[in-house]
Amino acid sequence: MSTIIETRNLTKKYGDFTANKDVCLKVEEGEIRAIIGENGAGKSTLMNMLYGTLKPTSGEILFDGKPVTFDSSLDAIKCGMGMVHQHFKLSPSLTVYENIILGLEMSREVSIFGKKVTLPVINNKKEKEAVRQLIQRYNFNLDPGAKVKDLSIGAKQRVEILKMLYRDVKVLILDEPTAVLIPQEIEELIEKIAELKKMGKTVIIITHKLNEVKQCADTISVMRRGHLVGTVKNDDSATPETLANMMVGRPVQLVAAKSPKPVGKEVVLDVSHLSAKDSYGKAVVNDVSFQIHDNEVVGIAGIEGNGQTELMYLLSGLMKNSGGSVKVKGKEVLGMWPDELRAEGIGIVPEDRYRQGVCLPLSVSFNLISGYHGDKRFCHSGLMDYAEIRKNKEKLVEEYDIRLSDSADPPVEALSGGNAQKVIIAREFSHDPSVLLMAQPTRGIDVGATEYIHDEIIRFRDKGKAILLISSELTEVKGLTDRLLVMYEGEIVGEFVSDEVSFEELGLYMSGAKRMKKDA
Amino acid sequence: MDSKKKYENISSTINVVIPLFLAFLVGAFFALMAGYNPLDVYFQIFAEGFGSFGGIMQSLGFATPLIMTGVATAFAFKSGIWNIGVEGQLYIGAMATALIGGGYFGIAELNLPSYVIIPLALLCGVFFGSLYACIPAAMKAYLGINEVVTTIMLNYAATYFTTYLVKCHFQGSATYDSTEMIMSSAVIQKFNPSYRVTWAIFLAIAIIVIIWFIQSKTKFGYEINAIGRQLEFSEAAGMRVKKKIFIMFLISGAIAGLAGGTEMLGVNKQFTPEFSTNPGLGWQGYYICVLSRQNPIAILIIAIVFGAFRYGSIALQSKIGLPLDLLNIIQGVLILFFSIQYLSPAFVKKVAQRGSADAVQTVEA
Repeated sequence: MSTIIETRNLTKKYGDFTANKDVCLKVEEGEIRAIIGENGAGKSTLMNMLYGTLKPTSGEILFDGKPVTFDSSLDAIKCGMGMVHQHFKLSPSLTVYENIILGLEMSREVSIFGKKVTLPVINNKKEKEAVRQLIQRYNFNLDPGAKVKDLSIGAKQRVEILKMLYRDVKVLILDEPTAVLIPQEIEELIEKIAELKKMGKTVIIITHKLNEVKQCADTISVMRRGHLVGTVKNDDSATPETLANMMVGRPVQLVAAKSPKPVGKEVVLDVSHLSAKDSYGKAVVNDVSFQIHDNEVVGIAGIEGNGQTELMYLLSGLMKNSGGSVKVKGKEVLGMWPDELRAEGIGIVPEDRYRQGVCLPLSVSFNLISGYHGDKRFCHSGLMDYAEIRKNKEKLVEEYDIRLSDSADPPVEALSGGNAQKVIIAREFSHDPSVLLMAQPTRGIDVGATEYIHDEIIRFRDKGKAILLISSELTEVKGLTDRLLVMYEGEIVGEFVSDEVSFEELGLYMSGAKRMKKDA
Repeated sequence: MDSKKKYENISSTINVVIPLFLAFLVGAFFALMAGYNPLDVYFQIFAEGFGSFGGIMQSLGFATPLIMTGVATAFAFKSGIWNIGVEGQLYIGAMATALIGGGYFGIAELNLPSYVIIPLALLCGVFFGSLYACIPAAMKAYLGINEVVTTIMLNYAATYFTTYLVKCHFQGSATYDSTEMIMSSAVIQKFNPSYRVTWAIFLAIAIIVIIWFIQSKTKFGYEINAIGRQLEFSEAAGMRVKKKIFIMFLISGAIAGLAGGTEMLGVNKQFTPEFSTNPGLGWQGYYICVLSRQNPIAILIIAIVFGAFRYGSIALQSKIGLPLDLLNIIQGVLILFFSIQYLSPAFVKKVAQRGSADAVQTVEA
């Protein structure tokens, strides 16, 4: 085996900030290499330099032993390097084969008086046939003539991979390939990756999901704060715990241990027959009913876009309902404004942290009271009590370990994702709500802060609270909750005791393959 | 002072000085074309506006409505609303005040004392100014129609509508298009009859103080601060965004109406369709709003400078025949250059750090 990619002291700086520092990476030909690290560790920066979308500040890249400089990703592809981005770059209105060929269109040719003339017309037949052969060769289950917008997410990803294979790349970089997939699709992808390896391709997977890394990688490189902190063989000594340890730099607990305290008897949140329509009249939340008791965490799993966002909007007073009721300790709260809901003891951690959770250009102290800013504590007859607001900030920053940058009260945009989320958590938890609605509470934040937030959730549960947790991170919803509901196309299609259901079973419900009969 | 603030201050100072310089440069070019020595012209404008007690009094007189239109625009601006319709709201407010103050609708026969008629006339201006702002406010808050377009168009509607009212319904005894003169009991007195400034200047300053207070001390101020920056966030925090947008529009329109009203009662003493033209008190308010970056003290200072400019230019026009348009060119160009950010705080920091070796900073991700 020979080294196919090598980087020597690769460094990327943005002003004062060093995203990659002296990275020396060696990838062998024909291996599956995982590159893991927390958000902001520099994985994507490194890959974007390899793929030509970013220029290194210093250092060099060797491909097949020869130094290369890429001006754009086109150069990288020519050299034999392909990348599949986390957010697909496909045209939904075009077919599979059109997307794959895009940029390398085949023209129709005619012969006039024995001369071959290329017409400025696309030869669709030839293109489709070429893609059909490609699909066959790699055994990808796809219809070349299908429109991309009709495909499942997993199939879209296969189109992306084929796009690169069509360009005959030797190295395939996959950026967070499993982030959007359901368990079955992940299995399928891992099989595909193994097949590609057998065909002699080199695959680099960037991810932060340790279980999948364990399943498919040959070697694992770990990045932390812009440095490559180590590369290990994927053997028994590399457990998810030791890998997480390398990523964070200290021992971490991956999913908070569930509390032994039993679920309470009192119904705190009672949602019944809740429905809502989108602007086209389609039912996006359809007759949803569930209850949450004290000392209970209920999770909602599902592929994104199946009504979880809208359900959260309904519960947090941001969307009009078309029927149903939501009661907190027997009191109807449906249709209340978000600040009224908070006054009723409902804490809200919104899904879109930066658009709804915090106001980025405003200060931490400002953000730590929003939604509660009409509270008697902060506001006396229409006048804000800024001394109290400052005191509140000092208390919460201390209590929730929010790491501020250099100044005492910076705008939230100066904080890392984890700390911004801690601002929200501190704000909502500190008002001691009886119900907590949380959507994607740990999306895109580092392992350390995730661990902290998970612990807080469990601690809060044990104080007798009812918590609703909506998350697309399956390990998170399954690991933290007592009960688990699966949402599919706006409906609750399954309800499980979290500890008794397998990921595979959940996957069947999430994809709509199975559903429980609704009680009348 | 922490270092970040320092760099921001340096860069924002430079970002004010460069456009000023460039604007005067372009103005100098046109002054030369018109056959005047630009340095001499600039010096004389300033000397006229600030050089004497009388000059200052005149300048403050010109500044009074500008302070109000500046605040009216800036207040809406701060909450993310582009009320470019201050000019129109000013016209409607001025018309309403001029009619009450002019004794129309049988008010003249009531012989109301000053302390009743002046507030009554001004309140009418305030009311109709904000009523006129209701149109774009409702369109913005409930139909999602961009307020820049509606307010600009409504400016024209306002000027033509008031012109129509003057021509067809309320023509006074003068030979030109105008309403009746304001009754003597309704006139806002000048400090000294030979200078333009009236007691309304105190009203303008009071409004600055009130608006500053609202913005920095009240719950409403807290909320508009958020609404101006991130609508979705404000919505999620339960700030009743639509209602607040409506209220902010109304306040902005009210101040604009008051600006028109005080001009009527204090300076013009009758409504004429041209009272605010070239380029218009509302438009200048917009300039002031942009240049001041919505800082109340800056609004006051810039409005006074603009007032001095205006008085100085008018004085020079009669003295040496300098076209008033030169001033308009400088003001317009100033806005143009001002909208460019010449230096970012980051750049200033970089330059500063190159100079001092000890300024090594570590930044966390």
